[in-house]
Amino acid sequence: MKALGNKSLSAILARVLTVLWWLEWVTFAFVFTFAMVVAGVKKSFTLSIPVNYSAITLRKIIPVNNEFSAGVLNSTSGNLNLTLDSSWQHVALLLTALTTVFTLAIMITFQLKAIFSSFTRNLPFHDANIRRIRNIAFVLIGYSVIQWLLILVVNRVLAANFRWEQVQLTYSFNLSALATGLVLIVIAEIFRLGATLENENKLTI
Amino acid sequence: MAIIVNLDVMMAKRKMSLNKLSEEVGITLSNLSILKQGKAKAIRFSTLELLCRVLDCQPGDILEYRDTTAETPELLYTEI
Repeated sequence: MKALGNKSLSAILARVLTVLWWLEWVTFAFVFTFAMVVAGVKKSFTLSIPVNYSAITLRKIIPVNNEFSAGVLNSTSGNLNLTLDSSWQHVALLLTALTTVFTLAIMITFQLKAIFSSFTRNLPFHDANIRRIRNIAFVLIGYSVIQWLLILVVNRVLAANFRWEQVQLTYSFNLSALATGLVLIVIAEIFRLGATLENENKLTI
Repeated sequence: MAIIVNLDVMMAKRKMSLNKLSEEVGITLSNLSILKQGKAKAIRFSTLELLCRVLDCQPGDILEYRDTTAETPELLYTEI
């Protein structure tokens, strides 16, 4: 199967990404409306906060034969479910967070859709693709840094307002998003080189 | 650019149109136009050979080197 052009892998991916892009819009509209309705109807809502902490033994796992010794099932991450009242500050915070997450996801999917559409038109080294790849890279790098800063703030708030006893909150850094962002910056530069070479080739008679 | 393409001069000398040259050399009209306007970044030896054969000339008749560095300071002085 061809990688570029019509009826190629890129064409299939472009179509899948278009569907995904629309699905993201529909999901965003549904979740946003649902959150607003629930906040209006109910007096409170549950906020699920992902947290990382020092290892907690959940249970001991007993082997069924003599080949293994007993194991320990540990957990170092989970969700802290908090019930918050539906005050306008809480609802506004929830809706802002939802909008930010969906905006980033929709933006990345849109850029990927545009990139694969240009692959379908046999224009891989289009100048816009360099900008699109860089945009995705900056979003991913920004996301990893902001997420890390947010964890620092949330951990401080949680540590100040709850008694955690022997459990200690820890920080986690989204290395995969950062690494992907950095790799994408390099790929964008390779695309820039490709665009220059293609332009030179086009102007060599 | 210091290299000047004198394709139009040679075509005029041989009384040959761009369409005719394009047909005889086997290069698209748009590519010949790029070459004629001096927008090309490079020219292949094979293209140069074909042009010389069809126009019955030497590479030097099509390409010319003109020193533009000497013109620049004067131009700058005039602008200032």
